[in-house]
Amino acid sequence: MAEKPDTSSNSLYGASKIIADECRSANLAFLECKRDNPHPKDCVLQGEKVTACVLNTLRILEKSCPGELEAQSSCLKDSRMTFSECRDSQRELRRCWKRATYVEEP
Amino acid sequence: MASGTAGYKQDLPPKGGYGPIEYARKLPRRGPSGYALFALGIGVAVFGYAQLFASNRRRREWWAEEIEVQVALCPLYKAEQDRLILRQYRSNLEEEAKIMEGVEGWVVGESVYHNKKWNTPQPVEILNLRPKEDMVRKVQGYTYNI
Repeated sequence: MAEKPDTSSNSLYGASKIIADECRSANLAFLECKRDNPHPKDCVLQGEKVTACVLNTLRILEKSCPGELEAQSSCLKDSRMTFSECRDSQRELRRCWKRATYVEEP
Repeated sequence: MASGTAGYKQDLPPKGGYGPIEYARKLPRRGPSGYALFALGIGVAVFGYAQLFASNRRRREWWAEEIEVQVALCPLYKAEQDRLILRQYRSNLEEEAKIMEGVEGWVVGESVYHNKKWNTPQPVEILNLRPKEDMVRKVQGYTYNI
């Protein structure tokens, strides 16, 4: 198992836009399962997929874009989670993410 | 100028008399016209309303962005919370089996309800066998400054 990335609320909120894009299908599957089955034991598989997706995204971000993620996290922490004041760092983070996950079309 | 024989100065009107006195009503038309004033007022109001609508739209977009971020992260929280609850229920079940061993008429893990639907557990149901700090943290932890 790879090492656990930093999952404080600052990191999670800093990477939240990218997590929203990457883990959309996993989140949707989990929420649909939860809507029909409120018991915890019924949605364990989907829940594991959700956690895996979020942790993988954070791992990639920590490996390839540590500076931008740190900048966005501290900007959000200083501005009390006001996203409108952190557009520059958000733009840099997204650019770095696109560079890190660029796949050459064959 | 001592005129006359008396040798004193009199306060007399100037030579040629005073000029004509204008007693007619004089209200000069000055400043912008009525139409111009209306236009100015309406223009300022329209400009202000445009700014107000734009700011309201921007504020709604910020609120929607906050909600979107919470929606993106809430499955993670719920999945982790579910796993914690299941783990604690399993541990509670084993504790209960150990504690109530030999008590007759006790079914370990029996639900106190008759129907089979999932009831969101109270903190006590999950944490009653753990130290007191866990309970305090769960009930009051969110009010602390993180």
